Amino acid sequence: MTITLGQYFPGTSVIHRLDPRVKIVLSLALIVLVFFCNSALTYGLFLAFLLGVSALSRIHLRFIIRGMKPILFIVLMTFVINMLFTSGGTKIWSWRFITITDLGVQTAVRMALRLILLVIVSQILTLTTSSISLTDGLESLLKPLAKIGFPAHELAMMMSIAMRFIPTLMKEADKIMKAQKARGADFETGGLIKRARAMLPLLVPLFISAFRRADELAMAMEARCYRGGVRRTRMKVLKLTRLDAAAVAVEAVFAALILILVYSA
Amino acid sequence: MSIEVRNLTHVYMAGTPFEKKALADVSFSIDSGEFVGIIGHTGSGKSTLIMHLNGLLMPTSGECLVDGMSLSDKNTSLRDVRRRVGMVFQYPEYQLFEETVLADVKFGPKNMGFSDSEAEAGAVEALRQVGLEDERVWQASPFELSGGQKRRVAIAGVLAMKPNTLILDEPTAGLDPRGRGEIMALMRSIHAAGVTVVMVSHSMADVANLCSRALVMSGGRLIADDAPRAIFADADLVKRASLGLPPCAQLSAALREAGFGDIPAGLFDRNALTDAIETALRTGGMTA
Ligand SMILES: Nc1ncnc2c1ncn2[C@@H]1O[C@H](COP(=O)(O)OP(=O)(O)OP(=O)(O)O)[C@@H](O)[C@H]1O
Ligand SMILES: [Mg+2]
Repeated sequence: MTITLGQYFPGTSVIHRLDPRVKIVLSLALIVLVFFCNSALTYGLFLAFLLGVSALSRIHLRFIIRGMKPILFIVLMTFVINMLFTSGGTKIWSWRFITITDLGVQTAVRMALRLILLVIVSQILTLTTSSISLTDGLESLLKPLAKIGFPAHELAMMMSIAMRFIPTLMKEADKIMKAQKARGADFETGGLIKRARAMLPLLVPLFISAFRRADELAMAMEARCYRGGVRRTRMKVLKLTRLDAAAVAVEAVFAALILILVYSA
Repeated sequence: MSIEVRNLTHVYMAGTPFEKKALADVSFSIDSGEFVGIIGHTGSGKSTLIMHLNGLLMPTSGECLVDGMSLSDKNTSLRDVRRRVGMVFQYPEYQLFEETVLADVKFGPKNMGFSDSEAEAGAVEALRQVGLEDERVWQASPFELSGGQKRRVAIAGVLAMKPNTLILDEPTAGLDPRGRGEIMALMRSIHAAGVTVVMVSHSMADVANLCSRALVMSGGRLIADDAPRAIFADADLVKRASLGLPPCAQLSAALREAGFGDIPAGLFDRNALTDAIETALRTGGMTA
């Protein structure tokens, strides 16, 4: 059981060293930019840009591709639904009530491409940023909203705790699964209902241990006088560097290029 | 021959930067009726090793055989292997999930294809074997029990499948001295009933007292396979594998150092040690 989606991949590349706030903002900008792409050229450029970034991050493409597996199904569904249910365009193939038009194929390809690009962007972000700096960055970005009562610190703390415990729970799930397998439990075969029932011996102990952990963590935090974000200082203060400025500049140029291509066409 | 391991190597997360060779070229065999201890420093690969013995992990290279059947063989039924080789994990009480103790203990045998009445009979027998005789406990929720009781229920859940080999990963971890004593007595009675027992333990005293043979793991390698007496007598080995000594062996080593040269090294049996001290005193054994 290895899920790479959202897993941090330690490293020291330029991408790893960027300030998390900058990375989050630049990733959001890229995500918005994906929706402007409208031609093979712009999609191609976008993909090339992302490949360039991932090369800079020194993360093997294999990991980015492997991490996409869980969403492959969604991409496929989107593709099929768009292909079948887009109206208009000229008919290129039909059978009984199923009609496929050129417009349908176009929309389907575009949607699938968009999804894939979006996932690559978020993958690069999470693969190169540890969950701690990710939530630090998020908290710092959301801080202005705290003035109007938005619980920025609490939200970031909740996120970092959740992320911190994902690997722990996965390890735990793996252990319980092995223990039940040793008692002859079968998680792999059978129909949907049988498999859902087979999960019970896994889920009950997993929930119990999650609650126990939550309890222990709350106790440990209180024992160390945690009282939320008010007047809390940080050990690592985020600081922007020249590298961050360079990254912003590069992405600005790229965005300008895409927008020019889109609006001059 | 109950279990045979040939040139077993296991690499976790092969092909990633997190790659970790947990076992390297381990070979040994365990005959039926033995009581074998597996000892070694934290991270030396003990848990990884035992999970190969019932096919929960598959070797990266090498082979494991149970009663002559290769676990890598496609025709070997892993379910059958897991019935023969029962496995009790560390903190097994965390695997309890059923509404009643009895139902939880029946889970294993039912998965193994026992009929409901067979499963029930096996479960009742196993519960009695682990010392839970009270029928009110059988109908209680496993989550209401004490830590030691939960652990015994979990062990019963494995015994109910009537395995011919029982593997336990640190069965006494986290128990108080009394609970530990109870589990150790249980191990002894299970072994006396004819079950081959393999026990991973950090308690050198338990290994010294119970096992007829001990495997010493260090850095993923099997560095010694001998009687506990021989292992604890080998000061160099004990140091290399960062093992401790059982209390009696500590005392006998300290006495030797203090000049009682007649006392053999690595004596961990209380009676043998008493005898040795007596003899040494009688013969005025200050030889050094
Ligand atoms: N699921 C896993 N993925 C990656 N590495 C692992 C995994 N499980 C164990 N390891 C690594 O393999 C090595 C051997 O681990 P193992 O759990 O077998 O040791 P152990 O001897 O049982 O230790 P302990 O006495 O602490 O239980 C360790 O370095 C550990 O970090
Ligand atoms: Mg272990």
